Amino acid sequence: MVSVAISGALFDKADPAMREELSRDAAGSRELPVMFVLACPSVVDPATPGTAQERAEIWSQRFGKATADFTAALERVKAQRIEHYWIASAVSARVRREALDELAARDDVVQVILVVERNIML
Amino acid sequence: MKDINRYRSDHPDGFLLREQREIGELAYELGPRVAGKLDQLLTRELLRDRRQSAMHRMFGIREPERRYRVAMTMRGARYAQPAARSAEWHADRRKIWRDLQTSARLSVGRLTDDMAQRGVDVIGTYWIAHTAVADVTLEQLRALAAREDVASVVIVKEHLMTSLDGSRHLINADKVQASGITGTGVTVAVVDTGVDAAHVALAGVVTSQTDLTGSGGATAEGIGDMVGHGTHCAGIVASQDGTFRGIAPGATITDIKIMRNDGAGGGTGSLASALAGIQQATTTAQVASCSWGFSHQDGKWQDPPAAGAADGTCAICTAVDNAVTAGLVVVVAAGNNDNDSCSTWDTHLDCPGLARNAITVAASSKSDSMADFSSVGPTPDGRAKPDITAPGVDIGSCRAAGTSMGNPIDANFTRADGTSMATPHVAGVAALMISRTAAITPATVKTNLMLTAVDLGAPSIQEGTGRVDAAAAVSIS
Repeated sequence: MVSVAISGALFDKADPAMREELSRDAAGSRELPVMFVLACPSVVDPATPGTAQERAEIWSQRFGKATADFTAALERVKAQRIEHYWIASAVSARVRREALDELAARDDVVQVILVVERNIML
Repeated sequence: MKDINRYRSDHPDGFLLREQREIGELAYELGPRVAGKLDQLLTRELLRDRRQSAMHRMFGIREPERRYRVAMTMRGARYAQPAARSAEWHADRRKIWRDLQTSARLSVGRLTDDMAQRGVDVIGTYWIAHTAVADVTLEQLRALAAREDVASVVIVKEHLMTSLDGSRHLINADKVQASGITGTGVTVAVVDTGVDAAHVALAGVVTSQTDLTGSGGATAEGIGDMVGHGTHCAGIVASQDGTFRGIAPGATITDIKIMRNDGAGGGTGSLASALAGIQQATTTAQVASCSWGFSHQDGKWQDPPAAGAADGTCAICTAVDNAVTAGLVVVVAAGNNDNDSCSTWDTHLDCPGLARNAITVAASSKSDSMADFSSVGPTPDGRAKPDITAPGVDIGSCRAAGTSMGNPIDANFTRADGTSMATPHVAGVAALMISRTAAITPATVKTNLMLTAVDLGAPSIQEGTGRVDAAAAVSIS
């Protein structure tokens, strides 16, 4: 088995499934579905006026602003299918393996989770 | 009504120690040879009576001698040779019957003779399992279970087949509905495998459908329910059927699909689809019913490594807590990872069942005993969970077209077990509470549900504060 160098930040912030995936990813050139949990303050504020939909729109916009820099970083590395989750301060995207170290090294990234489908039905 | 503050201050570790000590004392009193033969339910029953007797002694109350209906199975009950499918199959079967009947006559006969000498009422004998059922006092139980030839002693309880009709009545949702409160004006998000909106009992109930199975870069499955799980849960909330009527038949359902068929009848989803589902529910519903969870047991899901053990701060629990802050009542299944009440006490709760603001639901049977599969708390960081219990055994509800989940009753209905089935019961009750008082907050919904729950006598780390009581919860809301 070929061992792959994983940067300290990526190793520290990766969840177990991501670590396992990275240890398998010898070529280091594939695209991975990744959830980035970010260190921005929660935008969910019950005092926000309006209907639920209007409030969600406001929270979504606030989250978009708070994470604009990170989203730009994702776009720079040509990440695909970027989705924002203001409910949990998280952003998902399909990212090439070689871009992960740079993204994980950012201060605003708390955790890097491999998005895997699992049987979660109870 | 329970003192909820006392419940909260009852640290689970203290409870565990007391429980384990009591089990040890009981085993000492009965003798290790006897205690090892008793099943968990009988042990629980004896523990409960032991506590009650101590209380009665304290107040000088005389109590009648309690009798337990038990099934005693003899050693050597299993037939030694598997029957071969030979040309003499029918003759072989008759021989097996004869062998079993003969050996049972000898072994069970010795036991029933002993029972007769001790004045025990024998209810019946069953050669097929070398078992005798009898009503015994504690003393008789101790003497008979100590026999070398008795292998196990199991309490005999009626385990009724719980249809939704039965469970609705059990939790007093019938009474609430009869008072005119049916959940009208409330939308419940069924965050699940999708809903068969064309189901005859859900006509006009499902007001919107969203497929989020493609979140995070996965391939979307499309609207509809290819598993049957979401439709079953939706039926528990708001089925219009006469027999299998939902808990809140006046409520509407928004179908938020986060799981797709894994090809083997299971439901697969991802962190991305789960987050997207909770986010969507926050803006489209007042209540979310989440009958799914990420396990901490099998290494498939863990909290951030930096955070150490699971403590309710992972992304999925954060999302649920935020959703509650935003005004959504989030009801989640505790998990089906066994209650494991007499051994390791490891937490078997799934995420987001660990979320602080979630209403985490355990499962019970219609006879108000805890379901043996229902996950036990506390959380790894020592918080009391689950919060409440609801019926989750053999629940009859809607069957999605083209699916065969559970034990089908007919083309339209099927029975299923799980904390999955318990969860929409509580979601339905929450809808009734909101229907009565629109301005009620999610925190008050949770508090009122827990305050009015019926104590089933199980440890709080199994049942929370007890089994949900819709009438009592609505009455104080």
